Amino acid sequence: MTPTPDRTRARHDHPALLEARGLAFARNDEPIFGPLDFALHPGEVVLIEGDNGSGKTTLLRVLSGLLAPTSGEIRLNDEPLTLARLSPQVALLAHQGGLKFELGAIENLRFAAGLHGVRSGISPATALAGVGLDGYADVPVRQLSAGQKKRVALARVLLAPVGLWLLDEPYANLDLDGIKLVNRLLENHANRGGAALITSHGAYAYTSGTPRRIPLRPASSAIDVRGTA
Amino acid sequence: MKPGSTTAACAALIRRDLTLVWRRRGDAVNPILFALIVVALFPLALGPEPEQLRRIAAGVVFVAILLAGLLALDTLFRGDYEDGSLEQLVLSPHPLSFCSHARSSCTGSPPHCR
Repeated sequence: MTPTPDRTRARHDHPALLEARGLAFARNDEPIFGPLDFALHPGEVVLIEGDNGSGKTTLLRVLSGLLAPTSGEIRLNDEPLTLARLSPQVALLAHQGGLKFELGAIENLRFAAGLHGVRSGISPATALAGVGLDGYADVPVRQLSAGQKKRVALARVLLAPVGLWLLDEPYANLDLDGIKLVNRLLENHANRGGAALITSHGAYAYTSGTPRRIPLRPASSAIDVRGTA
Repeated sequence: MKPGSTTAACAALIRRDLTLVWRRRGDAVNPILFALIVVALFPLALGPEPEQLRRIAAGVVFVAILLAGLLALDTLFRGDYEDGSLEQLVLSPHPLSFCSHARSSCTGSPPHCR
């Protein structure tokens, strides 16, 4: 879990897309994570690694503006993060996929398209095909397996016209093909200038290139968790 | 990379909610049945004098509908909270009040169970 050498130093002249300074979160005086300092630049994929209960999900919820940090600051394009600034730029994949089980896969994606808009050059149907669910368009999500539900949720992320992906355990429930698929989606996203923050407990990893890693440990035993140069 | 319009978002939300009501129509008729039963029980309890029933009819119907609405109120946002849809709504690039108004106009008018 040693942080890999930072390959993105050249990009650091530009303001970071997302930057955390001294970010910490505590629930009922019990520290959950932090303090953390890191920056996420366009074209970068950063992996947050930590064991179960180390606060990965909480960190993503804080970064997506759904929870207020106990201390520290989050900056988005060098401005303080607010939901209004963040929401047009972010797609969140949470543990609860945000899918309606009674609706078909394509109906869920059409709803997401209406709500968030659509990335140019892609449609709900092509996004579904892109995650390997061709032919499942009209199957109610309730009847899909856990891995297939995850793929539908990934298609929703893929569809959103945003630069920042926050993916909580994108590899969970996926088969080997699915893991490769997530890596491919992340690579394409980074290549078109997007940035992604993903969490994993380390069993699988983003293997394309060498992603920067931020180890996350319970705040009580936190050593130096600085992920940036 | 332009987000969709708020009108489109509200339309999508209303369309989704109406589809969900239709898919779960068994749940949606629950409050309606409840209101009908309450209204039907009043003449049984008070006796069949038409004059008296005519006087209380409007009030009874209103109260029954209100109580039936109360049944659905609890579940107004619960389903969305539990399956993560609420997070997605909050993170949509539209004013939250628009979404919740679209939402409650859809959930509120026909007694709706989610």
